[in-house]
Amino acid sequence: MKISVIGTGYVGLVSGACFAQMGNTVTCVDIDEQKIASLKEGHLPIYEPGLEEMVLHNYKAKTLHFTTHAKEAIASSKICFIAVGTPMGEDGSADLQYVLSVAKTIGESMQEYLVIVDKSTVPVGTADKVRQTIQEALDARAVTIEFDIVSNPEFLKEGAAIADFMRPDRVVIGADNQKALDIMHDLYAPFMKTRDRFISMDIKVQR
Amino acid sequence: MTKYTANAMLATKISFMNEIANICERVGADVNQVRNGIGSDSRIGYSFIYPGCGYGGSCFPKDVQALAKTAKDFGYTPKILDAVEAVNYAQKNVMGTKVIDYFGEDLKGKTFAIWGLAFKPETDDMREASSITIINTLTKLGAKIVAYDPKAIKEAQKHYLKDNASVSYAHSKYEALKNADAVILVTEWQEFRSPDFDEMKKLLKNPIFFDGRNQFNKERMKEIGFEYFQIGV
Ligand SMILES: NC(=O)c1ccc[n+]([C@@H]2O[C@H](COP(=O)([O-])OP(=O)(O)OC[C@H]3O[C@@H](n4cnc5c(N)ncnc54)[C@H](O)[C@@H]3O)[C@@H](O)[C@H]2O)c1
Repeated sequence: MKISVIGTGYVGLVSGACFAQMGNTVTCVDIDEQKIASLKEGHLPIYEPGLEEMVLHNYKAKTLHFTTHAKEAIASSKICFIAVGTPMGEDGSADLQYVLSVAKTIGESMQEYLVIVDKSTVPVGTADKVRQTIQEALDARAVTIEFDIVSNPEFLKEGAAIADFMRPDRVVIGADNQKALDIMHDLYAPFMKTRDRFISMDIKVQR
Repeated sequence: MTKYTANAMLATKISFMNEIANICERVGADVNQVRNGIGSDSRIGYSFIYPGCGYGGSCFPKDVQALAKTAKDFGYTPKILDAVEAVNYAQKNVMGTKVIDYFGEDLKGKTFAIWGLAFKPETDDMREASSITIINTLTKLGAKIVAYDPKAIKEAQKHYLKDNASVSYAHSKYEALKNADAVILVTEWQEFRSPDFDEMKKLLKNPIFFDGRNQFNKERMKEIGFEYFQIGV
């Protein structure tokens, strides 16, 4: 499957590398030009056991790409992960500005049906905001393209991120639609060979 | 909601155990024994009940607070979540306080070796790390710090401690100890688990060990000749 990952931080880079390792073609996107440039030269921004080998291997094999051009990456993927930071805002709440700015870019870039996966840690109700932001951008382009929003929180532990990602205790998917759920199940099935650890739940919709 | 709940639960276990450690310390109990005693109960289990100098990282601190904020936005004032955060905030200072209790408020002319900067082993991530709190507390009182971490020194130099001129860095755990008045273990990297204690005693000015992660047996440390301080004992 062709996947784009927006935000190549801890979670974005580890997810991207692991999906590529499982045979997908992944493009990791970041706005930080320096980060992308050094990744292309084989320098990793973080230390994580096993990550460097995996990134270098897949980058050479052309199953893992790095770019600052979100548009092309999104336009050519079937699944788009949002993995940007959700830092603490001044009042303690999660600051969603990065997530929503990516949502806007997605709406401006997508060309066909897309599953948008929120991997960043976000409060209940965020899926609605992401959906709305994407829809507004589509409306501004005056196009109709179908899309689904899925919540897929990441449970990896720093220091054991690769092991956690490759053999997760569970994969939690929040979705309100079977089609998107099936696509997510296909994506994660290879990570759950011994036992199905797929836990699906609904996402909160505005009442 | 699931992700926030998972992280909040884990943070709660840590803060709960740190609170128990603080009680143990005052009543004269040993939290290490208490931990063993309760962990064997399968309903409780051993994971995430290790006392220490507080949790850090990019997830627990912000996620606990974000969940608390969401609760408040929806009209519920969380009691446990706020306490988890408050206990952790205070816990990051516990080791610094022990050092001050021992050496006094004036730390001019004192040098402390710090073992471990990352918020936990096997990462170079220093976001919200306890090491930052401890180091800044001690340097404010005039102390010099020589820090060693297998991976996180670059991060410290680039961001988290770049404005603290009283901190220098060593290339090895032993180099950090040279002429230090005491060593403070903050991150439980494996390479700190079986150090050469004789070598340590030779390098340190005084054989004083502040262990923020309860890595060693206190009786054994006494035999070897260390003044040994840990959390919750
Ligand atoms: N680090 C962890 O252990 C961990 C574990 C589970 C979940 N999470 C969650 O995952 C999310 C990401 O965390 P992280 O630690 O990977 O963050 P990070 O800060 O390491 O990475 C975020 C990246 O996103 C990039 N970015 C920001 N805006 C962008 C944009 N508009 N387009 C493209 N790239 C953009 C930044 O340049 C940065 O490289 C957070 O919500 C966090 O709570 C983190």
